Amino acid sequence: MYRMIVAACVMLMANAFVCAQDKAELGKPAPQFTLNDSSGKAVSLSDFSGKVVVLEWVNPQCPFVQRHYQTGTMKTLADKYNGKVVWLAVNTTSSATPADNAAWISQYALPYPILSDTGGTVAKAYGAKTTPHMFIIDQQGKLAYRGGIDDDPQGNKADRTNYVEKALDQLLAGQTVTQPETRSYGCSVKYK
Amino acid sequence: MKFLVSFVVLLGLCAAAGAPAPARAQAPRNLVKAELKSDLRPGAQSFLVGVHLQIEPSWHIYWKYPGDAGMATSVKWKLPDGFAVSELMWPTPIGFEQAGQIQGFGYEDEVVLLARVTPLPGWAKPAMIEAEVRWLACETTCVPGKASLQLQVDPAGAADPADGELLAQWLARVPIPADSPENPAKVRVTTMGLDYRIELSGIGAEHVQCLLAPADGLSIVNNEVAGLKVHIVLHAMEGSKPSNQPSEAVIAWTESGKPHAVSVQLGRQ
Repeated sequence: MYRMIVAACVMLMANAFVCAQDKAELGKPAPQFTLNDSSGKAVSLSDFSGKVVVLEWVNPQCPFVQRHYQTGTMKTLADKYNGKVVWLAVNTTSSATPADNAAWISQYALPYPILSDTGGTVAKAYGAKTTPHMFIIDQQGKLAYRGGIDDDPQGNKADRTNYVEKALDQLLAGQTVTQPETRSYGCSVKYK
Repeated sequence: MKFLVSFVVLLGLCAAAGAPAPARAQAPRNLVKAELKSDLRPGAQSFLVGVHLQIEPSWHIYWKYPGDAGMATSVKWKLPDGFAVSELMWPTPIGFEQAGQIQGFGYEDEVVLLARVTPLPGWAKPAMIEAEVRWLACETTCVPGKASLQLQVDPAGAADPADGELLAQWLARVPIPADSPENPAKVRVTTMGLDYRIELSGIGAEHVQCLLAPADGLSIVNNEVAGLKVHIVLHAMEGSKPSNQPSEAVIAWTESGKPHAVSVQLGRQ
């Protein structure tokens, strides 16, 4: 069976492959992938084994994403956990080019890469539906969180809970994530 | 179209070259026109107010449960002291599916979101009703919008009859409770935990649809319509507190060309 599963890990595109049988499930090994960053460098989930990894679905044209970048939500979090957590943004927008991603990185001086998933393979494996849509993979490579960045879709709450921050604090303290699944919100992922 | 896409990308690059460009988030044109209307008649005990939203062709805005993505349209009322307002009444939405099996619920072209206002007894002077409306308009991209609306209501005056008619038309599209005597269908609900089977009978329904608004902390696993039977399976998100609010299934159908919709409350058992 295992060999069959390995055999099912096919190259789907020149710049993206993912094990075809993978479907993200909480507490189960997160789907493996390799995607190119905006400079064309291949980045694999397996490069970061043993580390906590955050996946952030991004689309610079989405107003929800724009709001979180204008207010610094993502960058502040990535900076807070710098050295302890690997942050990878993924752009599945079918029309997005690596140059678009590079422009967004330079506009906001991002400390993390934006990986190109225009074929949507990785987004489908994780079940990404919105931008932003957040996933956290724990030190054992298992999916520990999926859902929204916070509990404030309209962006007007004075007292909001950042689910990702809460989950990361718990994971880094060796605790279980008490709220591993929330409703994500935002624009739809612009699949092909 | 290709030209337009390149133009947008070019715009994006120009904006990216400079400092953060808030103008990018603005609509190039007004995608949604919002107006506040009423059906007030002199001496009425209560009256309807409606937010009339006219949407640019091919764009849509969202229902109270937007689906997998999007954002619910919201209306925040401000009324004179002593006036009361009902919960917002949402006409039956349409469902749309985007690439990647992303399910959305909302409205195209136009909609009127309604509420019933009960004025202060003995109300004698003109009063102002205000509504702060927010929406997300989406086509291939999304643009958020908002409007602050005002409507002066005069106890001695009457609303434009055309407004009253428009509000009545949209009120007729608001689902009625399944236990209402006006519901022509017999509705039977069987609940096992978060697994619900709803069976309609006594009607000659066509085009049966189920539009589902899960309560907070729940997501949809299955929503299947077969004939007059609906099978719904919800999933409690791990770690979330069970909501006191029930989920809501709006079952819509047509009979002899006439649209019907009933609302079924789904609690946990």
